[in-house]
Amino acid sequence: MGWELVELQTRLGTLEVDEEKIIHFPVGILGFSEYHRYVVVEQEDSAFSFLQSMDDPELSFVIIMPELVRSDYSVQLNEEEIELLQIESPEDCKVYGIVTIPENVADMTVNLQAPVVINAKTLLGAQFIIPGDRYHTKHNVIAEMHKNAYEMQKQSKVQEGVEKMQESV
Amino acid sequence: MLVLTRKVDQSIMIGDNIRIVVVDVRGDQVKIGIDAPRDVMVHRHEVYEDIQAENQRAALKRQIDLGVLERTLRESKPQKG
Repeated sequence: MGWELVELQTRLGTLEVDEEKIIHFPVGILGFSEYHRYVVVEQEDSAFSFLQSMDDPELSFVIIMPELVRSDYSVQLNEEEIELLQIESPEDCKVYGIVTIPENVADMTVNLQAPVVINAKTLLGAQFIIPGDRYHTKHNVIAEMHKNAYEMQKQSKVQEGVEKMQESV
Repeated sequence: MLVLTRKVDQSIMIGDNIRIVVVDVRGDQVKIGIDAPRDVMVHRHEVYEDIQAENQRAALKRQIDLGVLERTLRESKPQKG
């Protein structure tokens, strides 16, 4: 028994994929339901990664961790979704948002309404839809990141203020 | 398209394991219950179409250098307002 490397010619160049890292998407990504095997290609020092299809070398997505865009981002899965990915503990899961990159790269958007959730333990993945209107399919990445940074700054200032008040009491 | 007439609490089977129930009808609104295996995703059509279209747009059409994306993020100026 052992693992095998699979070589794949993709838009990202030649990829050598460890078979043990292939993630199975039982339902598939919406609009691409015929493809069930993907791999996450991480790049050093980058907020972005690739989600590469193992079934169609031409199919790849750029993904990002949503909390980089919205620090308060959270996904609540229902029973069916938890069962689909055989999730035992939330810590086993990674959540990604799919990024759309238009001609002008600075206008890139991320889909926070339909995140990709991967259970690293069972190597099962799916794209789920978050109900309600809190998130939509096109959050401007740069605008949200700046807003995020601003909010965090504001929060830390409030925190500082509280600490100072506590000190003076 | 197959069109069936059903009353409240009556249902329709699609294949062996998908059941659609008419739960309630009020004016022009119909409440529908769906029993389906968990690998069958059920969504409102508009939402489904929206996400499908966004995924199509997101699928890379050209080679993308993540370094360029990273740089774009770093060099972007905060927007006012």
